[in-house]
Amino acid sequence: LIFAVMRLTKPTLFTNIPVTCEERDLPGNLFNQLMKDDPSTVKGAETLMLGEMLTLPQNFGNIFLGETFSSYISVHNDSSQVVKDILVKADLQTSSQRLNLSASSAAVAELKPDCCIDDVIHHEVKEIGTHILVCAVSYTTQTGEKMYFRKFFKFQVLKPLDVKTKFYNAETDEVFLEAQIQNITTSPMFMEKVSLEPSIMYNVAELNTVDTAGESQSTFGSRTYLQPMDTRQYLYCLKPKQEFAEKAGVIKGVTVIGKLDIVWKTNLGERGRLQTSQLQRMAPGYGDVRLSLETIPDTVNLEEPFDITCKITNCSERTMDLVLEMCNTNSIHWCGVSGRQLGKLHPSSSLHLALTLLSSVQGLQSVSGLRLTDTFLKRTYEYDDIAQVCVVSSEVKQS
Amino acid sequence: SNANTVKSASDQDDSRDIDQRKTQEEILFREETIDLGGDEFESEGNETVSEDSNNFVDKLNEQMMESVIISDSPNNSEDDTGELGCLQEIVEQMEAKDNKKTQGEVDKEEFLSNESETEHEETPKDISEIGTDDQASLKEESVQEAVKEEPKLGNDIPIETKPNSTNESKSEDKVSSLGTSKPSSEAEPIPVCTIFSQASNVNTQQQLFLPDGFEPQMVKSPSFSSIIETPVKSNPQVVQPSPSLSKFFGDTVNTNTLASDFFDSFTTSNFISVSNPNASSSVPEQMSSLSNGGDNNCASSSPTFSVRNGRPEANGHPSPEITQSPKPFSQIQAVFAGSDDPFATALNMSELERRNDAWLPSEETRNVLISVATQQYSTMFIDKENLTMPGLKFDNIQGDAVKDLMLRFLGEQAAVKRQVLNANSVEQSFVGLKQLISSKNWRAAVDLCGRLLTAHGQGYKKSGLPTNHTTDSLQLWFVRLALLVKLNLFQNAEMEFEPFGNLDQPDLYYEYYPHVYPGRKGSMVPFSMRILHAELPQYLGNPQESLDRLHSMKLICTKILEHLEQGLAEDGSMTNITQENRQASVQLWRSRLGRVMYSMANCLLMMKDYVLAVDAYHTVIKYYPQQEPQLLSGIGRIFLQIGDIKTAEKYFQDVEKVTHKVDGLQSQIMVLMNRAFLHLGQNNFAEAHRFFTEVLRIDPSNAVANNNAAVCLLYLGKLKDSLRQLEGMVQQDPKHYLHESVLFNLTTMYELESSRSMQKKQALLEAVAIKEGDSFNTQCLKLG
Repeated sequence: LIFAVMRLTKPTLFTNIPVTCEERDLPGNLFNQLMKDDPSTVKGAETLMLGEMLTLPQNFGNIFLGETFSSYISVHNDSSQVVKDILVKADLQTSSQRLNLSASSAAVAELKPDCCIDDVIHHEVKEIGTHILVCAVSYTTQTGEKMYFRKFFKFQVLKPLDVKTKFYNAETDEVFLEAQIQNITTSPMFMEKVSLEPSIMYNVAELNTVDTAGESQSTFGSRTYLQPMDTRQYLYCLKPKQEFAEKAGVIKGVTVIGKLDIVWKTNLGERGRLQTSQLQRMAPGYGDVRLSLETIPDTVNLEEPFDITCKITNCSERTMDLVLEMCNTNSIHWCGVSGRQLGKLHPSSSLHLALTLLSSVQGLQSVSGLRLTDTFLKRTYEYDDIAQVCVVSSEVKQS
Repeated sequence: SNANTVKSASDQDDSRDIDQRKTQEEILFREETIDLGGDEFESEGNETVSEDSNNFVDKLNEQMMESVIISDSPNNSEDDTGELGCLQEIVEQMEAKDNKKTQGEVDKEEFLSNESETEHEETPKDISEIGTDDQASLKEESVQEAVKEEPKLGNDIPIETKPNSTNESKSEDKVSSLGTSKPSSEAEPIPVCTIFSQASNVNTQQQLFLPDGFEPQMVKSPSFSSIIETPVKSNPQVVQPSPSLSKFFGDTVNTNTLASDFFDSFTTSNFISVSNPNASSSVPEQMSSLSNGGDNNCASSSPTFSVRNGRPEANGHPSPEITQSPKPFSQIQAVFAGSDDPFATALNMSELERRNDAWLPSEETRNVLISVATQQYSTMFIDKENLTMPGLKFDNIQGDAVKDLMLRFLGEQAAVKRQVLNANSVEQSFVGLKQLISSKNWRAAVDLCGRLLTAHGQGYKKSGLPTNHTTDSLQLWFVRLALLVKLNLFQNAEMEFEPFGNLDQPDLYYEYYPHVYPGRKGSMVPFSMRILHAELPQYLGNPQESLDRLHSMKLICTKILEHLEQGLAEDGSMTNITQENRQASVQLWRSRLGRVMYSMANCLLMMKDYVLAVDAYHTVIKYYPQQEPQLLSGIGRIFLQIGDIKTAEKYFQDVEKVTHKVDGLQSQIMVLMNRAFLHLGQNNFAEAHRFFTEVLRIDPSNAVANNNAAVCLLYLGKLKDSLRQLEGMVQQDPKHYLHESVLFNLTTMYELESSRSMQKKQALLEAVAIKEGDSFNTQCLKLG
């Protein structure tokens, strides 16, 4: 028996080299006639380079993680004898496991001379690195002799994509995810799908299309594919779901955002798919007590009081008894009593606080100087640069 | 079914990431790299090394074009492995490493066999390596042979050899200081022109080529060799002007100089009028010696030398005749200027010629041409760089790879049976040339072109020597270069194209030869040759250069069309053109512009700039609306190739809307074919096969459908059926189906079937030997 294995990547289209001439040229219509007679040209448009003829893959090529490894296994009886009880087994040995790829494990009763057993195996490649295809054949000759042999075919699985991510935390608990996906293969890659599958805590909005006249257009334009080494940047906005947003303070430490699901296609629809691991992000540290601004005017008059609303959330595990102190800075002057009791604040609960202040200096001023002291632990939390406000002189504002 | 999840970063990675986070808590955002999939290997410590070597092997793989069959081919004997070079060592190192990793899982027995196995794997590579080596060495040999040939030729005439070079340098010196070309040059007071004037006499002699070719060396060398100081005065006729003009010199009537000899012999004569200084035959010598009598005394080479050698001398001592030449020259001008002159009228170029030859020279070239036309010979010194001096760069690529393979595999007896036309077996003319081309003996045709060009004085080693161009010589160059491209001998084509520069040198315009082509305007360079010239760099890995050239062609085409729209002639002159002719001209130039766009689109496709390529193909549709269905299908296939199935589908749907442009049967085939391709893109080989078969039902002889159906069968695991289909197709009409793509598929399947693939391939070789010419690309048989 003879054994042959061939990797079945997609066939390629034959390209021809058009050489044309005009009627008045020496060869007359000879060149054009030659091209017409060539079966690989497109009839009626012979100058078109890309033909319709399919050619079988010419080399093993590269195989990438997420793609499907297909292979033809042919066992051919080259002898003049009938052999019996043929069992073909194809295993794939990776660095971590051994997979059986044979479609059927049943033995073929007999194989006549010059006949063959064919099998096409498929396997979605899930590991990087060395893979070894192990093909084994066992059979019985006419003389009853048991025969067994096997062959090994080794190939490397490469990484197709390079993914980089970046998180941006908005003040409003939204999280923006920027994902850079780079094609590190050697062929153009059509990105069929790049989506973010959020974890249960988030809703996701894809920001990769622009609405123009009711039609959503891709921000990547008409170029639907990635050339080798090209990078594309995808942007997603994640909003905590309502039930989690309530307990915004509770989302802290490492949180699971979700994972990217990428589907691409290459030559003639050769498909690949990858998912990243769970993307995790460090929630910004708010400490025990989080102070966030609810409302603030953007422009205020010089030396005129204005109101802001703060929200104070207890992010710790214990109840707090808070005292608010307000310290004036060079420009910011707080109105009202400093050192007032805010009362008890339970874990994960929050309270709203309206404050009045004025600025004595024009320009962009930073609101600073709030101090919260937990009387139980005698611990003081300082809040500076909470927000910025534009201070103008009253004349300007009126005009 | 394919919803697989690839767990990416390994646990290790995760924990590492978390650590990082803890240390960087303050930072709100940060960049991190996610490893798609286990880097298990790399954690082992020797990571960098293993990765490097992996890459290296990958690179090797790419270069070596490893055969698809990863099995050891049964044909490779153990001996082959012995020949593995350093490649093998690397592989073995690799092996060792990999084995280390997998040792745990792979038992020892496997381990051993594994190693031996991979050795086998590499054997195909090895063979191919050896194969290419062989080829290389073969080439070298042929070159050496060529080199050898010359000395041999030299030995025949023992005197020469060395002086050759010295003379060349001399002639170069002359040329640089030399005025325009042959016809007008005789008017100049500068003696340099003698080269041309002398040479031009040659044209009267129609020389039959010797079948062996390559006389030029023999001829040239004697003329330059013996440096005997013969006074010029002894032979004043040396500086005889060009024949066409000679009649106007009262005293030097030369009987055999007819202007008509210069005319385009393109359609009428089988032979090229030899009008070049470097042309073959010993005519120049003869002419000089016998110029008084003007009759042909068969001068054997030796007597002529003495006379001939006067020429270099002539430079130093202008003969009296030369000094007086300007005067008669102006008279000539007068003769040609008058359009009433029946002679000149007869020479008015035809509408057709004007239309086809029109081309817009660059500013610089235009100035030279104008000065030629107005005979401002004081300004007519043209730099050598501005002249086109082509010559064959290699003298013989004749060979029949099919026959070589037959000798190797089938033995001498079989090889003898292989009969193809070669350059010797056809008439040494355009007729013979066409015969060779249509019988697909392109190598022989290239050879014949070379011979014809040699006869024209542009033969081997003539590059860089002054020469004249005719319509014929440029057509011959075009055919030769086009065939080289067709044979994928791009490097050779580039070498021979090089002296032509950007095809805009003044001596490539008819205006440069006012006496040879009186009144004729435009470029001698065929438009198709410009296309060829523009396309060539892309096959040599320089598509940007191709694009540049195509763009400048596009500009000129557009300009010419503009001129026509403005009521001017193609070149922008105020010639009157009838409406009918104008229409025809617009049509011609539109289609030429379309051809340029086609090349651009093809070039962009080659550059893999698909967006621009698709745009360019859309433009082509505007120029060739009748090709819309084919082009839209083509665009669809481009998207299919990228993997953008949806857009491909959209284009295929568009095709169905416009298929009325082609006749019923063809449109049906096109639609079915596109559907088949779409299924292919969706990984549905069964459906694709169904549609290809459907095409075959309508058009049983459709080679593409036949081949593609067979390919689908293979992917469906039906090797035997697939083979049967392809074999049937080849046997049914070998004349049509012995195409390299089909044969490539067939041989690949033979290898997969792996039983006696060698014999089967050899059977194919025999079939090829009967049907195909010497241009057959034997690589697809994978016999090497």
